[in-house]
Amino acid sequence: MRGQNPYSGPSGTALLELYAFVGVAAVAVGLDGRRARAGVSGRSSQQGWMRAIPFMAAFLVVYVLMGALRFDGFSTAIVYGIIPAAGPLITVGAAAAGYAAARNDWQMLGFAIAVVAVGAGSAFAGPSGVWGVAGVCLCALVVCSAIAKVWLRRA
Amino acid sequence: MTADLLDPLIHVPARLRIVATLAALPDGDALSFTRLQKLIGLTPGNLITHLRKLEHAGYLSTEKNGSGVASHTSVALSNRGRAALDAYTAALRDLIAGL
Repeated sequence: MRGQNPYSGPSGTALLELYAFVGVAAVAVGLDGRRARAGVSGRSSQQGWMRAIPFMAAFLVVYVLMGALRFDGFSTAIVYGIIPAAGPLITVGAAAAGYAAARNDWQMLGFAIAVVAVGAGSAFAGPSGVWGVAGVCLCALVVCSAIAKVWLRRA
Repeated sequence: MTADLLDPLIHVPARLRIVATLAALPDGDALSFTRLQKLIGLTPGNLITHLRKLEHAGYLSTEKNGSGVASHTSVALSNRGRAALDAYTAALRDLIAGL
């Protein structure tokens, strides 16, 4: 955040906006999935929640790690700057890569590995730059993935 | 002649749509009658007639749960039905490749 010296992490408003956006996206995905699965019964619908558990665990573990790092005396720049921006991308991306590999879904595997790379690479931008770099790279990745999907479908 | 390999039971447009819709589900999953009807856009009577023909051929299985107003029927593609659709699409591809 601009004007902070020493850096103490993103502002509360910025975090609120980010997590509100993540929340809205999660609800939209949930509703869309529910609509798509209406009337479907059987093995995969029973496995639905089980599939979500690794992703939720991968997301939540980052915040446990943040607490542990703060407790161990790490600086706020690392705990509130780098970890919450890069951490979820690395952990959730890795969980998604494992899921995609188990399903032989090569497109999703490539996307998930790219997300992990964005998360790890964006950490080089430092506490004040990591959010911006991760955001821009993730947007570019989503756009490239959409273009690749359309291109592969047409080929 | 490849055209002879086109399964006449699946070749009927309405039944092809039913089989293709059910084939989109993962193995072991079933679709409710009402959702299938909504997706295919057939009348209940028409859909039942097509489902019976496919069921007699062993291409799908139906299961009725509950009783009375609360009862609902679910439909699933059998392994035989999946294999028949695979054979049908392969035959169709061969036919088109010759054009």
